[in-house]
Amino acid sequence: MVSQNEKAVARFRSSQVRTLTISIILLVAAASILTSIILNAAGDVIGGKVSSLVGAHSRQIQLNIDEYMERIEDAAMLMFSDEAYYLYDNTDESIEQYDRIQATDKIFARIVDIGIMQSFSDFMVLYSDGTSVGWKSKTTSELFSEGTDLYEYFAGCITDTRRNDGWEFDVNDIYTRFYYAKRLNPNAILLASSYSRELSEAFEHSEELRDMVVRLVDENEKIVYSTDTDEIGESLPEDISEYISGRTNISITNSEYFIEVNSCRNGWNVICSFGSDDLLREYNILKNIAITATAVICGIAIIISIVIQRRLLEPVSGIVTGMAKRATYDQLSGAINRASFVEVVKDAIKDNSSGEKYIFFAMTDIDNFKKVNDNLGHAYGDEVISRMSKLIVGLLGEKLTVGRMGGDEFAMFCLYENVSREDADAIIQNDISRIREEFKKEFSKEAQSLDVTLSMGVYTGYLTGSDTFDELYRKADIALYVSKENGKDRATIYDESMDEKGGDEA
Amino acid sequence: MKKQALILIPMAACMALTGCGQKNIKTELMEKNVINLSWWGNDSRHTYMMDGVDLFESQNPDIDVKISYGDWNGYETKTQVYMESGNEADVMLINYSWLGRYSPTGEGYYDLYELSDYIDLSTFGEEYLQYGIVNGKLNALPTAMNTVIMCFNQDIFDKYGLELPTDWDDLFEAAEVMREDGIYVMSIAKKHAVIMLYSYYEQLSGKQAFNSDGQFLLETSDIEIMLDFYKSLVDEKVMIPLGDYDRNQFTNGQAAGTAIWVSDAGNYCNALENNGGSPVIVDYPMLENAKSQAKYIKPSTLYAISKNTENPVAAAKLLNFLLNNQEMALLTGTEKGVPISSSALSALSENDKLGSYEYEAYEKMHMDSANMSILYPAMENDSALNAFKNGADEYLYDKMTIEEAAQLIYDNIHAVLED
Repeated sequence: MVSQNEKAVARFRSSQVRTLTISIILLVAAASILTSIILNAAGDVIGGKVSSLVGAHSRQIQLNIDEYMERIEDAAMLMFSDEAYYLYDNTDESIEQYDRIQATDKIFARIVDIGIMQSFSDFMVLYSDGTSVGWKSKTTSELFSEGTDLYEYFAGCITDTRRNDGWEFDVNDIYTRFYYAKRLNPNAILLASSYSRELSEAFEHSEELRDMVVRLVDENEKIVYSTDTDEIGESLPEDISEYISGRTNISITNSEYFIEVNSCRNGWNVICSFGSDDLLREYNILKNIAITATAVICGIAIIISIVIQRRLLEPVSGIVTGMAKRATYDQLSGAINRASFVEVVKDAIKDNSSGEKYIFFAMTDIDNFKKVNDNLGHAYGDEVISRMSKLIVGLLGEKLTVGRMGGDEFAMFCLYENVSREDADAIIQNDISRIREEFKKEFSKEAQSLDVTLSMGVYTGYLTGSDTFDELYRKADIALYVSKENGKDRATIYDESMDEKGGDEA
Repeated sequence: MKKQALILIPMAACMALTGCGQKNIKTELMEKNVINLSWWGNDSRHTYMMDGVDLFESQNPDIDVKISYGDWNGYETKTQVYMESGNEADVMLINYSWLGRYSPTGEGYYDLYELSDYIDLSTFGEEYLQYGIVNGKLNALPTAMNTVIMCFNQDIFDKYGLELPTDWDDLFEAAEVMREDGIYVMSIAKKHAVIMLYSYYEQLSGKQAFNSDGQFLLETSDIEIMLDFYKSLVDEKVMIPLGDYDRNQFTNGQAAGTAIWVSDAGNYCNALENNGGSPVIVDYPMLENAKSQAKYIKPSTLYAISKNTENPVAAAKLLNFLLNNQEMALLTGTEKGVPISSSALSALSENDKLGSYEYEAYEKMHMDSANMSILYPAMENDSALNAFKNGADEYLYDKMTIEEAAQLIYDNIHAVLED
């Protein structure tokens, strides 16, 4: 049996669930959005910081390399301190052998004086006739079979027209060293060479950036030195080369790399690159931890909020349930009130589709109830109504709907399905008798003193499509009227003949 | 209240996760012991030494080794500059002659006996340790022993139908035919040429040029004989004049022979072989009825530690690595000569690394070592060698008479040695 009020309660409960669900969704969404905003911001900050760190290191390494090159250039420059060093031309055949030896000894001594402060592999004056004075390494000696070819080659490397010098890497596929050549006079150049790995100190950078690859590349993007020493002499990896596409002194950030390019004094470039994955590896680990932690915290928050909601709503729920009950039941008698009774009956008689239904609709009225109020007070009257209600509900509440219609008037309703009229009438007769007997027992004292008895009006009949509550009520009420007219303390079954009589009264 | 709680919880969580709260970050920096290592040499030595340093650093991450290296020519000057200015490297490759020069009393280098906890001295025979001991202090440890040997290009002698020279006359005979084609019999660097002249004179006269105290024992008349012999070597095209020497003259076929250190045998022989020649290692030329064998032996190079080092332990570890570590021995091979350290030697022998020209030269030296005398440091003192060479040039190019030139050499060598 569901009343409108119970539906309201159900609606209240479902709205409670809805509120909770929406709260949880909002919580998860808010936490996700907040987490993602914070993580993205953190990612941007870390990316920016590392990018500037890479930039700073790249610049420092470029300065180191410039300084290294400058040292070599400065050493070479010292050959210009005396004409005897830089103007001497060993190809001049008019010079006598003795003078030649004196001159070259002097130049050699100068080479030693300057060169001992450096770790050179080669440091010599090369003359256009293929002769040389100074330190000539085995590797350089073996580069060309003719000394003149060696001279020609390095003369061709002098590309800076102001300083008359030039840097060269990858001579005949020799990747272990790079050369510096500077013209001394039209028939002589100074040639210095250093091992590429000498640059390893210039390449030293923070342990924090251990995944960073630093490369020094020449103008053809050949790797002169790299922190990955295996790739010295190779070409710059294609993807990095494409990202840079010939630009210099720039910083590139994309999904794959952080790249920083700085140009050295001789036009070679320091390229620092950092795989984005490597860079963000630790950040991604942190990110995963953050997401997991947020999820766990959300879960905990959801559980806590469910518990809190339960706790918070328990009293409210009780109030609502009480209110619903109050709206449905008559407070004095405990039977359902008139409005609810009307609703239940209307609902029941609305649907007459499923087979024959036999209606029982009865009205009761306590005879001489006014005397109770007048003699024993309203409180006692109320008690009588309460006892009356308990009596009927206690006796037949299981199968009948019992409602207090107002005052001392109660109504009873039942639909018998699949029961023959005879059987139903018998049951009804029995029920009426039981009510009357019980009433007499319950109110025997009041009957004696105040002449309190019970009158009943009963309507029975098959349910038709045209039955309305008002009609059923009217008919039962007429029968009740007839009981009263006939001397009270009786039950009258309605028949149509009563219509004229009762109709007037009603 | 509920809504506030719902917002506050994730915020607190995010703050905790992103570290909005204050947290101390402690970065620990590893303390590095920085030590310097210096050596001289050529490309192959530079390369394996640098590889060795990388290896050492990887095995000793707390030690950072800074390197300094250069060509032999001028390296004595460099050593003087660094030693006298107090800037010498912690670990140094040194020449035998420098022991006398920089540590006459044994105080010039660190006493390695004090570092024997870190240096395994058991791999060195007592007879070899002697070379590094000055005044009871172990100033240096020898890498290998060295002597001068001759190396000829068999192909050139075959071409002229000549036997390989064994005495001085053979050299002059070979020059007679070779000079037609502008080929010299020998191209010899200054040091080996001057030592060879001392050797020649000792064979001839039985007189040693120096004694163990570093005193020069020859008179001007003795020097005159040496100068005369040198001039004849040059005039007869037996030997390229010292002023025109180039280390490639032997390997590119301009000269049929050279005099080299045993430890250099690989450098020259391999280079000649690469150029298509056929190197053969032979004995020093000897006079018939020579009054002395006049062959000299010395440690090829030694390692020493600076007396001023601030990191003696790190330096000792590096020195021990360079001499005794078997991986380092394999990197080094026989480039400095066949190693004295038994640990290094067994690494080479177990790995079949002893078949090279250095080993052949070493065998020759080893068989003859009983007949050799110590090469006194003064004999290869660079300033003394320059004094001889400069005087010889004055005579060779007619700037002085033989007497004047001999006097100049005599005076200058005495001046240098007394310095």
